[in-house]
Amino acid sequence: MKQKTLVIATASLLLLTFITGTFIYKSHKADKTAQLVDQNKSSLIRPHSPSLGRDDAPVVIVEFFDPACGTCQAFHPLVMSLLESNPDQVRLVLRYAPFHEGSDKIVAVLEAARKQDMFWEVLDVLMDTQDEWKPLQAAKVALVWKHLEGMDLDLDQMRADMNDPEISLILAQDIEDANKFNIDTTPEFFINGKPLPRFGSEPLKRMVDEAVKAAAGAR
Amino acid sequence: MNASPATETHEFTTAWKLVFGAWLIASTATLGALFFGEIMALPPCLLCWYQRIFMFPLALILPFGLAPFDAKIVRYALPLAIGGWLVAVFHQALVAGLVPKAMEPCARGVPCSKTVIEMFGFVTIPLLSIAAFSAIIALLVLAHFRSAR
Repeated sequence: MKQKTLVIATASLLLLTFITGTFIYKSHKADKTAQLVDQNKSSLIRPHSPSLGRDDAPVVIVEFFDPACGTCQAFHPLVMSLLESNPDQVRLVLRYAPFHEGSDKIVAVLEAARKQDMFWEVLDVLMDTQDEWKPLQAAKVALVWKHLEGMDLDLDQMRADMNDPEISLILAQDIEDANKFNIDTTPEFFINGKPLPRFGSEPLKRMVDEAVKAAAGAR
Repeated sequence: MNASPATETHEFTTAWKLVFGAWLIASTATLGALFFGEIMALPPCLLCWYQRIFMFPLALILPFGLAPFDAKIVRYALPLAIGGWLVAVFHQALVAGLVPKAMEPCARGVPCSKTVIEMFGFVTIPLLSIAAFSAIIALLVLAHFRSAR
């Protein structure tokens, strides 16, 4: 065997081992998360969690979500379109995982908007303007307000409601549940209690479509 | 005119095997570090980054000294291995508490003194790093003396 052949063969073998190891690790991790969800079903959806869509919808998307996370922003239109194209079949439940600096304050803005029944409208605006209120990877709640002007909102009431101790309790519970499921990145999706086999917009779309089809077949 | 420089050979000499061993260790360490960082999503601390800066190029340049064998590769690879070894030793000293806290360069982000992985009760990432750099240095030094003869 030539020197070159042996070097190339060894390099290929090492890379193959790496790729195999990656697959084994990922599927092991997904299995473990699924198992954790099975054991803690009540921790996945809490009564306090914001929910969009019919309560009896057969397909439930649970999203662990950070309003200051750029990838969550990128997923937002897709998630909303999944709801729009299956209005009676899909429900979205949001859980907070405020991993970015200042995110908890943005969550408080959302919760204050919820008291005025404007949660989803404000969420849309926050997602559209994220780049402007999140300079340098840290969320700045002071930069949020100007984007909410002109909406049907009582901003002074919102500022007062943000300090509601109930909001800290919701946040604490959501963070505890995220830790329970070993969630360290956002967004993390669960479709009817099952994690995505692989992270990405395509796997999310496919899994929701399949769940919708399965639900239609069961009826 | 010489067909090739005197240092190059196409045979599997002992020196070749020693450099090959060093490359195996460097590439395993590189892929291992990438596995911890990219697949298991453990963020590398500052000192880990400096060790990566010394280890990753070893995995890439050593094979160029293997086919055909060029004994001069030791001259280019050894400084990287020694640099990485020094950082790894400092890192281990930090974990063991031998370096005063004031000297710790990474209070923000992931603290280097935090033990993220422990296998068999004592094998940590900085310890693996010291072992890898030490072995690479030993193999390269041996290869140097072998090929000098």
